[in-house]
Amino acid sequence: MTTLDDLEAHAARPRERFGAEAHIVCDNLVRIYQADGVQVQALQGLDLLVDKGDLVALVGASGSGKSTLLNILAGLDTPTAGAASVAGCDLLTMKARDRLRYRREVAGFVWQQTGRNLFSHLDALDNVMLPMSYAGTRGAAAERRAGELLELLGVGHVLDRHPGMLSGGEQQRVAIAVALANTPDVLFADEPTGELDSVSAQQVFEALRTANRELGVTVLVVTHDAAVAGQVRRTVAIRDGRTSSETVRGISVAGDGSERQIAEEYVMLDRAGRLQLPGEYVQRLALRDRVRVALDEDHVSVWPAAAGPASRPAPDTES
Amino acid sequence: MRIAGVRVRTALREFRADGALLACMAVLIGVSALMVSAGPALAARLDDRALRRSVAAASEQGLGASVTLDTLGIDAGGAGAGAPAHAFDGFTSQLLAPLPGWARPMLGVPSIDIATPFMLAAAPGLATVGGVAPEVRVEYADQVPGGLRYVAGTAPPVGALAPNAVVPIAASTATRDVLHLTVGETVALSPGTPGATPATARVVGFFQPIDTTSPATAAFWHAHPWLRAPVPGQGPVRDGFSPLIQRATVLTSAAGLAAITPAASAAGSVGTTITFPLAPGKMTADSAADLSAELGRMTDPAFDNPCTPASYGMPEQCGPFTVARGGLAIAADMKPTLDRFVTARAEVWVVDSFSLASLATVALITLFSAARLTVGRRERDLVLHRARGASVRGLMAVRAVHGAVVTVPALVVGWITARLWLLFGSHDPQSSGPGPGWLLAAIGVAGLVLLPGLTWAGSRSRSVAAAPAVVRRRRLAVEAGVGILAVAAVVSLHSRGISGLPAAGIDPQISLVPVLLGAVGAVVLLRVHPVVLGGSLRWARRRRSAVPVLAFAQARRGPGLGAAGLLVLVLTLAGLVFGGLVTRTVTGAHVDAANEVSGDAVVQGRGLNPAVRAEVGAVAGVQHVIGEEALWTPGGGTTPPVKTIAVDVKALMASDPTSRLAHLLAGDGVGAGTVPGTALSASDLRVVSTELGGLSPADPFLVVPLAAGSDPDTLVIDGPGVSESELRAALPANITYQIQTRGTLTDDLDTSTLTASLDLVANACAALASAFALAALVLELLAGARSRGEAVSFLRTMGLRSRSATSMLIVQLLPPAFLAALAGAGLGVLIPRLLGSALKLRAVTGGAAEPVIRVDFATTAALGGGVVALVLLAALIDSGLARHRRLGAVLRFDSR
Repeated sequence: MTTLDDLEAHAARPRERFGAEAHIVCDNLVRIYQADGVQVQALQGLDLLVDKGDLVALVGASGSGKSTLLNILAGLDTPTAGAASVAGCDLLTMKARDRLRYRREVAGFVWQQTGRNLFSHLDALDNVMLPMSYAGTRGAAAERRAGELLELLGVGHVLDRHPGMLSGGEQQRVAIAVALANTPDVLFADEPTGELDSVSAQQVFEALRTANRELGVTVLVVTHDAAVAGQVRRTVAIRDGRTSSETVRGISVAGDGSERQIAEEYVMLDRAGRLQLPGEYVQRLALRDRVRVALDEDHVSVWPAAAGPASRPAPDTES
Repeated sequence: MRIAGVRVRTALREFRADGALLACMAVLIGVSALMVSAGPALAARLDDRALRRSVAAASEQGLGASVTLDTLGIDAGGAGAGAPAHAFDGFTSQLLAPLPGWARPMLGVPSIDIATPFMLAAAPGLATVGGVAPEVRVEYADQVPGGLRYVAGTAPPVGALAPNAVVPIAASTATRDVLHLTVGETVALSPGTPGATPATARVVGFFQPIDTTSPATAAFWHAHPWLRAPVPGQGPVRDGFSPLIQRATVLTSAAGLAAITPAASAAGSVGTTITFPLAPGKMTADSAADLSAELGRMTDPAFDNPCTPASYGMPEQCGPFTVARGGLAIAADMKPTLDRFVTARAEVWVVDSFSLASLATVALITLFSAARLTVGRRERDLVLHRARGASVRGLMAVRAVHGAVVTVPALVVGWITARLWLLFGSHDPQSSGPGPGWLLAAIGVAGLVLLPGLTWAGSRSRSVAAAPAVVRRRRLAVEAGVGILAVAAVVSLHSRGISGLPAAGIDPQISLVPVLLGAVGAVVLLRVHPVVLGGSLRWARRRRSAVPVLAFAQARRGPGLGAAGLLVLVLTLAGLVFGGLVTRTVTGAHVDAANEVSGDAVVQGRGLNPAVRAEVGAVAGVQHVIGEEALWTPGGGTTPPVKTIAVDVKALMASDPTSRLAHLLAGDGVGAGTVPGTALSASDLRVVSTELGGLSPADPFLVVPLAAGSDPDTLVIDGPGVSESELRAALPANITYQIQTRGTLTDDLDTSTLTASLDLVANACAALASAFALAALVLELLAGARSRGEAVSFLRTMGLRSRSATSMLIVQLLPPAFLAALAGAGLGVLIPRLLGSALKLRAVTGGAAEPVIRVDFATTAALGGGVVALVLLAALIDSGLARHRRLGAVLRFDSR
């Protein structure tokens, strides 16, 4: 029989914190705002974990909450409820001063619109140096680092040009340099290739990969571009303000020693045990209101309410 | 290596990028600084002019500060030792000694007039009337306005006279002719009391007045009729009847007067009058109140007595004058003129405070609109700066520097321009008006604070925005607060009235009222606007055109002009209507005051015989001449005499055949041609109002027909364009006439009652407020131009013509414009009622009672229409600017 002491001891026992090891943690994140008098619930309890040094793509339909999530993680917006931390910084409890330091030193941000990332009245070098000046790095050191960043990202030749004189791809790569100016831990990019042709998009994505690879920056990129999403190790899909599925890519070594890329898509299971089934599955099996589930030895089976374990085989959720 | 820091370069380039709007702010600040620095001083100069005009006019009537002495004797040595002009300098200086130094120059060179009582004159050959000798008074006047020309002999010589010497006298040629005097003739002047020793005088010269008709001389000669010519009158009763005798005045020197005083004293009091005229050129409007107070202090018995104390019953020694005990009296005749001016100025400043406060608020809102647009255009840069790690404080500091770079030079330029402007036409002394210090400080603070303040507001995180319910509650609280403040301010103003106001200056409480009332108007408009738009939208949906539907649907999301735009419109129109209403009331009251004169011109004086009347009737512009005479009809028993006005009935009938008074006097009404005043209405009395001389219709008086053959003393002239100078030219030169015309009376009232100052402030404020309002409207429209441009461009891709786009904007703006016009005009008309006892115009209008506020509905409607036109003009400017935007550029998502 459980005694009161047992319960107290259980309550006092240290619990494992959600995503304790992760670099980016979103725990049951909620964001509600008003638009033209209408209340919009952009994030509805989103969970997300990203490891340090990872390069992750966020995909989802328009209005699914990707940009809202990115704004929150970049410290440009605050969530309504839930928990979010980046590089150990709690985004909910941060004071104004901490938020300022966070934007200066921890997070870099690149918007989709090429014209929105850079100050039109400053040249490329000044654009990169400006965040450094906010963080206290000035003079020759700032100029040298800005030049190095632009060189690293393949735009060293445009440092004295204003944004109006740059192509869209160049502008985005300069924008990445700006975001990296203060050696942030994390780089957030909101559809950075959305306005670009495929060649420029490839160059921009290469710049992101360079930043991830050469500088060790964790990169979280929102994209609609399948080509981009296909080039990252991990792609997280967001639907209706929640993470719905995740695709993990890796290299599989066959028995004959040959290597091939494989991609496995997972359905996300939240901390309460809720599962969001892929929409096509729901439609195909006409799942609605209630379903039957059965626990087998190593998996869980789901059927329409009218059907049962005896009538059809359990669908495999892995692909 | 880049020389300047990247943040400095960024700040400089942002400054350059916002150059146009920052220049706009600089212009607004500069014009505002110029306005507050020069405006009050210019108005004060006009006040100075009005004061000087009033004082000069009063001085011409002989008003000033006067000292009268019941003189028993004059120290001949002291009086006659030097030149006459300096004879009494010591004493006059002594009289002014208690006044403060600044006030003394405002009292001009005093005139001294000493006159004996009338004494019986006796000389061989002296003309008598029925054997009765004439009476002659000896007078010393150190200043005769217009001067004298001696046609025979000389003026009485200046210099001391030996004891018991013959007193030299000079008479006018008219006196010579009537009394048959000759140069060198000795005249015995007897006090007429038994045992009194007669004085002996010798005629040394005859003079003619050089000018008796100009405004500067007429008052003197009107007050000295006997000096100009003998005047026949009833003599003292002798043997049961009072004979007709001639009375005349002759001039002598100061020493002569001193010599004759002991003998003359036996006949009665020798009156000495020292009149200090006020020097208009030395006076300023700012010092009028203090000067009035000093003049009041002079008349106070506690004022320093310049006389040597005497033991009980003995005469006092006042300088060279021996004066009966208590015989010195000081009167400040000019004080009422100054007090009237000070009151009028305070009244005018109530109106000016109102106009200036409305203008200042409109200017500040325009500045706010410019600053908001400047910061709003950089909203995305602000977000980018924040994302790149800029602190709000840092961003505010940059904007504060921008604000300082714009504000400080603009303030300095505005102030220096005002000083240079004021240098032209400046002279010393002049009023400076209320100091512009705190107004300049307010403009400066607004210029410095607006940009960083709006940057702070724009830098707040989106999540900080309050929930709609909270916003609604806050809005209600603000509206209630504004309403309560407005009611409190109005009630407080009602209870306080005009008392406690400075003579000139901007009263903070009065200034606050129009701003609060305008805010209330804007608050009501913002509430009413959606309701009106809803109705308009329903109406538009029943029409075939899509433009009104689109316009009203878009307008429903926001008034298009915003709260600031509506407040500007309401305040501007309310100020214009109120200013026009006050100006109309004042000028209308002046015309009314002028209409109280019996005719278009009125001539008063003696000798208006048929020949003179014919001459007057022949003057250009004269249509009719009605003769009138003021008489006293003896009352029976103890009943006092009744004032009676005799009117030339025939002339009145010719002038106005429908005149009820003429018909009554002609005998076809009540009575036999004698009409009691009670039987007449105010309109009947119009032609006799001047003769009534302040009698109200309720007082007992009679109107009778002018007897045939008798000469009137007043001519009432019909002839709207008749000129005073032409009338004067038609009148005999040897008689002094008073001439009043309605035109000159209206002009005098306009120029002497601060109307010019009132007009200047009202018109300048109206013009500037209109210009500021137009600028504010354009800026408000530009603030929403981007989203409106996107919507219109989107519609243009579907085939909307650019002309229709302009129509759409106009239709969108018309409801708020009409509402603002209604609210502004209504507020302007209501303000006089709301101000209550704080708004008084009696002293400004110069009338006896508070004037009735005249609402000119046609002008008010025209001003309301003007505001609507102003909004349309702003819409056309905005549309013109929008045409330069390329469709592709506007529609390109997130383009700059």
